[in-house]
Amino acid sequence: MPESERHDEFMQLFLEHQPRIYAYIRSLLFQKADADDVMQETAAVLWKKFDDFKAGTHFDRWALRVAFHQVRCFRQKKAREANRLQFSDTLLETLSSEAEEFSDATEDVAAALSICRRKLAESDQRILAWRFQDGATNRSVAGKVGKSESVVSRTLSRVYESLMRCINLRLNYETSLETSDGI
Amino acid sequence: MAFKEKDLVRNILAAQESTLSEDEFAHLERLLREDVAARRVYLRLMQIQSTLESSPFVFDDIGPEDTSGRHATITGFPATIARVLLPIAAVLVIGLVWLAVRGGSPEEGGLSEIATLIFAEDCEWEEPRAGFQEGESLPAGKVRLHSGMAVLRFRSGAEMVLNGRSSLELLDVNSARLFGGEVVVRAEDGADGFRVETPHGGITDLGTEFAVRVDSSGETELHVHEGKVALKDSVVEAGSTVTMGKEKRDLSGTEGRLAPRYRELIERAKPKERRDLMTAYEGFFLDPGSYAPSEITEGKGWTSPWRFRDPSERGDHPPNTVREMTIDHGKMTVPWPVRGGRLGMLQLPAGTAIWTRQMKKPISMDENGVTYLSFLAAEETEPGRKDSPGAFRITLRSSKNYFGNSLSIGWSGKRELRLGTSSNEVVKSIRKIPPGETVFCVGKIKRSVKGKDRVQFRFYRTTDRLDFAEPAVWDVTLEGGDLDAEFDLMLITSHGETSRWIDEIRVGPSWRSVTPINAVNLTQD
Repeated sequence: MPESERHDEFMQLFLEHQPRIYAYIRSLLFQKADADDVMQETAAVLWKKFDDFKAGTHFDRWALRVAFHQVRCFRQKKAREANRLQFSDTLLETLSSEAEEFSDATEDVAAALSICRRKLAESDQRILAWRFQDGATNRSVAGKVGKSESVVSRTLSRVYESLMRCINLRLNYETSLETSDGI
Repeated sequence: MAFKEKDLVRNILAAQESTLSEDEFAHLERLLREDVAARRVYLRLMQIQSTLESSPFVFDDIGPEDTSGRHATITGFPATIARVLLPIAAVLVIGLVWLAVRGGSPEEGGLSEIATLIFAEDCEWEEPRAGFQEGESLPAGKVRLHSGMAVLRFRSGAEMVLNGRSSLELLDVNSARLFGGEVVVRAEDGADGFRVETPHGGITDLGTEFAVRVDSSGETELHVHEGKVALKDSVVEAGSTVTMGKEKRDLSGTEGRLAPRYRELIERAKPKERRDLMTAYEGFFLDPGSYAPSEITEGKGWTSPWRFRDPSERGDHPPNTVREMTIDHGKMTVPWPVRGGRLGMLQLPAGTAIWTRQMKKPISMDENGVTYLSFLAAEETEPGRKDSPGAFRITLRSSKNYFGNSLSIGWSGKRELRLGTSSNEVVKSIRKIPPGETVFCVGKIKRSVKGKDRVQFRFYRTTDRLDFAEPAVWDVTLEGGDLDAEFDLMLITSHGETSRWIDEIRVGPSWRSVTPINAVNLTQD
């Protein structure tokens, strides 16, 4: 197959599974910036090793294995940095297998989230939006809303809790519909 | 280990903010290691964060107070793009990477634009958007259509047909408020979640297509064509029609007005080419043979025939090695409904060939507007031939300041699409021009006085469909370059060991003015 077609095939698969791969990496790393770095590395390695991927097998599973390896490499590189807290290798292994299972629901969670976040109070939506603007921190959001950093932290904590509750309810509801056999 | 969800969430967030002590972090680690329920909370929280980080449009409907802030940036590529791009995805990546490298803010890069008018037929717009033209983009705000039919494509990918008199407000990249009139929304995979606010509540798309009509009394009628939509307290399935006034009624199965489908509306409008709007055209409609550039005087919208560069225009660039302009016949395969590519096309032989011609109507980069440029091209076939040095491009320059700003559209010897400016701002695609195959190339130049200019370029293979409207995704995008100039010179440049052909050069103010649209294609999905 010509390289251009091979590349098209790769990009199609990669972009199709990118949200899931990113969600998986993000689950294993605390910081968004770290996850971004590993995501980029993972994309490069996947393309480099794309000849190893067998058509017809699961691209996502292969990609997650590569991503896990990249996460480990990244952690090793960063382990020497002072004041850097990171989970133990044991916990990472446990989280990895469960994160893979969780990532199956990435699309469903995204769909549920788009509905659930609209149920938040407008002020909470706004704080959440500001927090996810590029480069934002709790402190920068606090400056915008004219409140203390701790108030913003508490608000975000409460917002995440309600989003989680709402998403879990929606996912459970949809699962129950799928398994009810119409009864 | 027992835990309170509230405390766990707070500790995870604190760990992210690096405000957790080592002891607290050790406690968090132990809890996650030992308790599967805690891990589930952790993983769900991270899943929410990753979704919010990689779906910037989710947050664009926060309201006017948010307009001063930057939008969330894209991590990797949002799912929307993933589903839409398919084979040309790779090249968009390059554009995004380029933006990231340049460090331009999203607003500067035009991300404050919410939607693009991709089709307008017999449209009369009212203030504040009177004079709104096909190809132009809109920020948040009100839009009033007095008559005609228009299609808006939101940045989320959702498309909305405005059919006849209608009034709405664009809220963000994934929602709008309908005050009155009739709209049909089509939100393919990845654009689902599109929301239409009506006087009687919001309608959220959960996949594919629905129509909404709000009459003068505010009564709202919803018809779901495909998929389903969510109302405040219910989900409406495909094939259902409901009213959303004081009394909510299900009109399914009655003789209620059946709202037309998206494609029906487009087909009814009979989109056709607008060759009449072209500002410059060259079809090389001549007999085969060799000509002096001055003998090629055909075409439309030029001040003079083709010519070589003046010595003063050459600068350090290599001299022409090709002294004549050769017209060939039958060197292209053209499935599109154009006259070009058959009876007369310009040969660009091996060597260095550069010709220029002046347009009557310059492309003024210091005015707001949109200009499209298209052409047919083909490269010689040599099975097994490797990429060779060289390039092909069409360059726009100013006769008043020849060595000032310029813009070039073309490809390298490796046949990667390339957009470049005189300031050495260059973007390349990964998708390559196929050797031996005719391609239809089209560029869009968005000119902006206050904001940043943007140039987009893509090619179509002979098997690709040319739709009634511009594509949602381009192969390469160059954004934020300094393009202030009045481009009135067009240069065709080809050098290297490869022979090429070019034909059917068009310049115009809209997609349809430069693109052959085949009506048959409208029925294809």
